[in-house]
Amino acid sequence: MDNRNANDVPTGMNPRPNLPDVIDFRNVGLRYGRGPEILSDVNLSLPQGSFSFLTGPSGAGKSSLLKLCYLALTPSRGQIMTFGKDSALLDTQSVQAVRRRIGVVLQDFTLIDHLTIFENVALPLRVTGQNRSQYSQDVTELLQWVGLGHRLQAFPPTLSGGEKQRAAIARAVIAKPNLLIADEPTGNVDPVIGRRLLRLFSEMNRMGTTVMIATHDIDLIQELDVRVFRIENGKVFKGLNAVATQDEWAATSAYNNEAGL
Amino acid sequence: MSLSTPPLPAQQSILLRGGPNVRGLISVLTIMALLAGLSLLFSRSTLRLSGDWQAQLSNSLTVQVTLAPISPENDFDTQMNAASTALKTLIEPAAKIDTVEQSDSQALIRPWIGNLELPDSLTLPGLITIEMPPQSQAPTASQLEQQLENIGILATVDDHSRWADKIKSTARRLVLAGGILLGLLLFAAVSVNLFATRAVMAAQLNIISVLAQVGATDRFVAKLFVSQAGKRSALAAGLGMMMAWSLWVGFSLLGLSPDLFWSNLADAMTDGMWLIGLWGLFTAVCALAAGLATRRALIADRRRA
Repeated sequence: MDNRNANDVPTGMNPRPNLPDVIDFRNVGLRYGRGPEILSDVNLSLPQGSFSFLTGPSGAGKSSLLKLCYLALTPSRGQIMTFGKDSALLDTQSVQAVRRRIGVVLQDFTLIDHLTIFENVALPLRVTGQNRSQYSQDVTELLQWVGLGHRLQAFPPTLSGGEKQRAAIARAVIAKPNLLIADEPTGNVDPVIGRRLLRLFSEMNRMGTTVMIATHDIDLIQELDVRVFRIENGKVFKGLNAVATQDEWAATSAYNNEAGL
Repeated sequence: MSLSTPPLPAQQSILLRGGPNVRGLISVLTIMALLAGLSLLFSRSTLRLSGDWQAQLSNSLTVQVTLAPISPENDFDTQMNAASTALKTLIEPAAKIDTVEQSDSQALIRPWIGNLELPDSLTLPGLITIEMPPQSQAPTASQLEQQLENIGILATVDDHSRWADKIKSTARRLVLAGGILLGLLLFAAVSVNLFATRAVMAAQLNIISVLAQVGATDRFVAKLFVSQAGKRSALAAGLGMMMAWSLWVGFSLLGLSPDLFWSNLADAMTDGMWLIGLWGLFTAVCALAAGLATRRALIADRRRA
């Protein structure tokens, strides 16, 4: 089955057809060591300005696929074009430059425990050489916006899971990345905060950021009419709009199973 | 949004500070710096001492006059006075000329004779010491021998160059040994810093991953570790040098071997400047080692995040 066709089905919120895809997977396979392939023949592209969800059961390979997107892993085979360039051909500096254009929110938050929330969120700006006076206002405002204005000087271990989640999201978006990748970003927050975060993602997408969110949360997917990729047994299935329900997903899965995928 | 920014505390260090291992590392580096400082001071003192001795030797001459057989008309003192007077005409008037008394000359021989009476016929060494004024050029031994011979006095002149050369070469060897010791200590400090930086990096892998994730360059990451190692080494080297300087001051004040330790403030200040230089070198070398270890580790782990 040619999974590349899958990308033609849905559209994101603000795709920009004249620009190269932010991410373009071409027959990508991934295995850890000598183990079995956990991702096989993945063909997937994220046009500039698109908004996509990535869903699928636990252990299906969502996190690995996201790691490939932000160049934390290299594929075992196939090609990944990142911002129009073959990621395998990027030198170290270029890889780092690409990463500065990508905001990442991981399930384990990856906050630095001995830094305050303010310092954690400011990190992407600090590594670019900006000084404190340049970014302190922006960081403070963003933290207030995500509801952490009163915890600027708190340390991650003193925060709840939801607060950590919001801090991680704030860090991912503070540098206004071209691509935002989030792994279960609303997994630890209450529905009100979850909607607020989704609004933040939508707002960023409206301003041109390409967004890809991995989630189990069907309700979250159904909040927006955007492209959805489903990953199962290492295969990425064709995208459906979120309004395509669980039944339709089930049908898609059944189809792929019948096709021997 | 227009929200007032509350005052923020000073920027935090991205890397973890302190910890029991860091204290241990600082202690080890301090001891190394102390040993390096002592080695430097020892080498400096050796050089200074050898210089002083050489200056003293090169400014003095010993003339051994071959005396004619002693007789009542031509006794020891008469012959020695004649030689001394002749020497005064040959060398700079400001030079200090001392004639070794007959009894002193006999005393020089006595160790070889034991308790026996010295025979009257025994030819005694007629010794004259010449001390040239500072900044003056002493004549060479052969020149002076020739000049004495021209006026009928047979003499052997010792300009002490044999001893001066020995002192010089011994001092050089000691300084070389001090330099090698210093080099070994610096090498050990480099090795310690290489291992320590690797350990620190391993302990802070999660931080490096986060930095990589947000797109920090290798230069930025390396700078963090180099800066941390530099501060750590500067502290340890500073403590070590202070201890070395204090020990030397203590030995000098106690009056132990005044030739070796400081006898004036100028020497203490000069050696203090050398210690400051060594402090800078020690710090720079340790920081460089940290930079090397960081660079290697980052190159080996390109796609971390």
